[in-house]
Amino acid sequence: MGARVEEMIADSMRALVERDSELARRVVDSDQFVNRLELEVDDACMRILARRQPVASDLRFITLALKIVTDLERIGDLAANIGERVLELNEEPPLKPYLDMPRMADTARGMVRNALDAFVSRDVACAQMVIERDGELDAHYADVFRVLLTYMMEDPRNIYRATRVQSIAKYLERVGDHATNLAEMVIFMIGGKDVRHLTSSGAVVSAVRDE
Amino acid sequence: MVVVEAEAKLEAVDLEAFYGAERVLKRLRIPLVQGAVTAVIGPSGSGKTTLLRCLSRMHELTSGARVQGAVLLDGMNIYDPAVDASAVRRRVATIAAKPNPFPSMSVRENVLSGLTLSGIRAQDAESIVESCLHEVGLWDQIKDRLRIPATALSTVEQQQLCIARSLALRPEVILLDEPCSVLDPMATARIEDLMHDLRERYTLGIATHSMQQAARVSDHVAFVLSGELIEYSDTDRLFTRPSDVRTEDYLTGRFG
Repeated sequence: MGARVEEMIADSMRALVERDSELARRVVDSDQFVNRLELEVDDACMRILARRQPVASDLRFITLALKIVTDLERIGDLAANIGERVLELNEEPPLKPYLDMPRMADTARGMVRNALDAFVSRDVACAQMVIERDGELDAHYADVFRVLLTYMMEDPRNIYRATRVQSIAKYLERVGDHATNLAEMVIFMIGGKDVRHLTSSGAVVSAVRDE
Repeated sequence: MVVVEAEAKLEAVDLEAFYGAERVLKRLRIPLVQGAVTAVIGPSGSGKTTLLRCLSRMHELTSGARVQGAVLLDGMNIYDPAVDASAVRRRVATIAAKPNPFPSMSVRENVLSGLTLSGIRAQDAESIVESCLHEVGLWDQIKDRLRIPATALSTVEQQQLCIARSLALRPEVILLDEPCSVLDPMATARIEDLMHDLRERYTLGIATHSMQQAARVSDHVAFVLSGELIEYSDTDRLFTRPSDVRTEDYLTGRFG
């Protein structure tokens, strides 16, 4: 499932750069497959919970798997969304900021892959790196956004294409957010340490969690 | 999830059981599918043990007890007057809750006791002992101690020995009545693993009041309450989406 969504992101970028609408359409269609995988994993986890009564690290693994598939499915949705925007853009002449998209996509895809690698190899350091790279992706998105604004101000005929490129950049930024979620969950699974919703001092934001 | 309907090896059909005038099983219809483990769950006194005893013609050994309806073994009614009860009991083995090896016999003699007591002289006694103990996972740890008294074994080993003893008679169905109720969790896991291995070659039925155990070991579950079959389903389904509210209440502990 993870491999498939990574592939969808890569394909959607190739479809954009090579202006391959056929490929973009295939990315949109792949989403069905990812959705089906989500249902299958959900079902398998439910059966394991009901029949094996897992505890400790096994319990964390299963509950984590349940949550991971939700994020992966959302990443699949975002890749399909990129495919849809690519289909629209391929009807128009190219716009220069397309060039930044593959680089952003590489970062986002790398984060997904590393988060899943961390899950498989139980590697906290690897998961930690994913979380740190999210800032990089956010900064990249801000840059792209500024460039696009300039384009739109220069020539209103750029607006249609620029808003689509902006959407793609936003989708990629969201992929990074989901990868960060995955990495945080992996850290929880391995060490039982919850790193979600921390303040800068490392304290849990809400006291509810300590009760 | 799609369940492939396999052939029932042993099937209770409108089975009723009585102790004197009291009816303790009410028109049960439960199949035991070949190559699978069927668990019978339900609270104490719901008729699980009686059901297993009816399936192997043991119920009638209690005075005043009788059976109505049919139990089909490969399609043949074991309550047909022409059928020999002891032949049925050889084909359908029963394992008791508390390990009950013959205390006066050695390990080896216990394995062979079913044959000896049936008056069968085994030509290849040594290989029967070895293969039966192998099948229950006891051979490697016990092969040098075959002459020690069976009661010198640990409780779980005694239970494994009892299963080996029944295997010597080459049964087709094995019924286990609370086989882990006197065992600790590690020993329980050992017996559960064993059931998992055995189901490839035998048809297994287990009565248990532990629904967690039923969830772990079985492929199908029958939930029996006050002698009535409330629900029969494949295990995945029963433990995730039971269809009867009484099953739901029992599983979630909201009973009564």
